[in-house]
Amino acid sequence: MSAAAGDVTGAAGATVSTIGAAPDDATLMLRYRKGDVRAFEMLYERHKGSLYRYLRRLCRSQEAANDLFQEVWSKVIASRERYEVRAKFTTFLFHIAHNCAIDYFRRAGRPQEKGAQDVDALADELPGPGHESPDAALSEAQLRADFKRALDELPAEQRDVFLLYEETGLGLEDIGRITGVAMETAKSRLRYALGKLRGALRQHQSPTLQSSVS
Amino acid sequence: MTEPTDKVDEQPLDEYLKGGSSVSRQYRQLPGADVPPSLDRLVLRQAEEAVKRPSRPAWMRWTAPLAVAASAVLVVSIVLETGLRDETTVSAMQEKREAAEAPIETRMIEEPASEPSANAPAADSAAAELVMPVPPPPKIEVPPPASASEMPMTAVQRRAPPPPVAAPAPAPLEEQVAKAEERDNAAFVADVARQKSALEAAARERELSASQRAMRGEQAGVAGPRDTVETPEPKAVLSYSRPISASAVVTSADSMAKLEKTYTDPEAWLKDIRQLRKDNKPEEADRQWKLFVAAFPNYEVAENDTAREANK
Repeated sequence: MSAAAGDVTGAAGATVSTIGAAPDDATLMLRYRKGDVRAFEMLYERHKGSLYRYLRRLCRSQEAANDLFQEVWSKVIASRERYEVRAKFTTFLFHIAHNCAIDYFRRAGRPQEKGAQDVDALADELPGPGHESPDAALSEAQLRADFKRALDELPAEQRDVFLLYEETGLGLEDIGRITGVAMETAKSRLRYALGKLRGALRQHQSPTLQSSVS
Repeated sequence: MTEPTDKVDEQPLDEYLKGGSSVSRQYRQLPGADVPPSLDRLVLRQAEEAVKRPSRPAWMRWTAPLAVAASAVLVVSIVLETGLRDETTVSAMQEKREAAEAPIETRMIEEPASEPSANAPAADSAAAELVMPVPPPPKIEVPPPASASEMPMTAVQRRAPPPPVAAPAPAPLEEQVAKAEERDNAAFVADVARQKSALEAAARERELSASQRAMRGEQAGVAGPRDTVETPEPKAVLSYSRPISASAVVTSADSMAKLEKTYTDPEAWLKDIRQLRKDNKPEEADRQWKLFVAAFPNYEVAENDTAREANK
C-alpha cells in the first residue's frame, strides 16, 4: 500500500516539471547562480503560481501570503551560491515555503488547530455541511464555496499536505520530506483531508454525479 | 502512526492518487489566486540586484572553517599551556629544592665551620632580613620558561655562567648574581650560626641528663649520641629561614651527610670520633678529638666519653 503510494506522482506534476525542451529547474538555478537573471525569471514564472496558491490557501490571508511569498523568494535568491542539485528544485522551494509558513504561524500565535491532535482522533470529524440545502440543483458557485470552506476548515497539517500534493505534484515521500514527517504520516493526513473534502462535495452531488465522485 | 482502515477506505485515496478525481477537479475550479504584479516586480528586482552585487570572495567561504579551526587550536593550546604550567610549577619547585641543596653542599665544603661562628652576630642580622621570602636566584626569574623544552634545567645549569646570547646586558645580571650570592652567603652563615646556638642550647639541656647518666654508670658512647643527634638537628635545620632550603635539608640525606662531615654539629663529631675508636683508628680519632676541642673549646663532654683522648 505504502510503496505504491510513494511512487505515485502528484496530480499537477506534469504541469510543473515538464515544459517542452525548456531547461529543468536545477539547470536554471545553476545558471542563475552564475549570474543569469533570465534563468531566474524563467524559474520564477514556472513556480510563482503554485507557490502563491499554496501560501494563500495555507495561511488563508492574502497579506500573509504576500509577505511569505516575498520571503521565500528572498531566501531562494540568497541561497543561490550555496545551491546544489541534491533534490528537485520544487522540493527545495516548497521546503522553504513550508518552513516560512510554520514560522508565520508561530509568530502569529495561531493555535495549532486540530492538526496538532492525533489524526486518528480526527477520523470521524468530517466537516459538516456548510448549510443544509434541500435544493438538488445547487449552483456551481455554491459548490465551490462549500468546497472552499471545507478546505479552509481542514486542520493545518492536513491542508498543508493536500495543498502540497495539488500544487507541486510531488509524491508522498517528497511531501513527507518537506513537512518533516514520515511518508505514512503524510499519506494518512492526505487521506483524512480527502475524506473531509469528499464529504463536502457529497452534499451537493446529484445522482448522476454520485457515481463519478470517488 | 496507525490509521484505522475500517474507518477510512483506502480505495478512494488510491483513486485520488491516480489523478482526475472530483476533489482535484473541484480544487482546480477554485477562484484563482494570482500573484500581484507588484510582488512580481519586487521579487524580480531583488533577484537582479542580488546578481549585480559582488559575490562573496572565494576566501570568504573558508572563514567559517578557519574560525572553527582557530578556535580549536586556541582551546588545545590553552589546555596544553595550562597543563604545562602546572608541570612547570611542580618542576620549578623541584628545581628550587635542588638549587637550594646545591649551595648548602658546596658551601659546607668550601667554608670552614669556625668561620660562621666568627661572623655570627652579623649573620644573625642578615638572616633576620632574610626571614621573609628570599629572592630566588636571578637566573630563575629572568628567563621565564617559555616551553616545556626549557623546563628540565638542573641546579648546575642555573649556576653556570650566562650564555653568550645574554651578553649585551651582562653588567646588571652579574650584579644581581653577585648580590644574590652575597645574600645566599649571609643567609647560610646566619643559618649555621643559628644552628650552632641551637645546638649549644640543646647541649646545655643535656648536661643535666649527662650527669645523671654518669651516676647510673651508663656508657655515654652508647646512649649519648643516639639521644643527642636526633633532637637538636631538626630545630637547627628547620630554623633556616628559606623554606626551600629547609625542606631540601630535611629531605636530602646526602645533604645531611655533608653537613655532618663539616662538623657543625659537635655531637655528630663526637660520634664520628667514637666510631673511629671503635674501628681501631686511634690516631685519626685523637687528631679529630684535638680538632674538636679546638673548634668547640667550651663544649662539655662527659669524662667517661669514649671520644676522649684520655680513654685511649
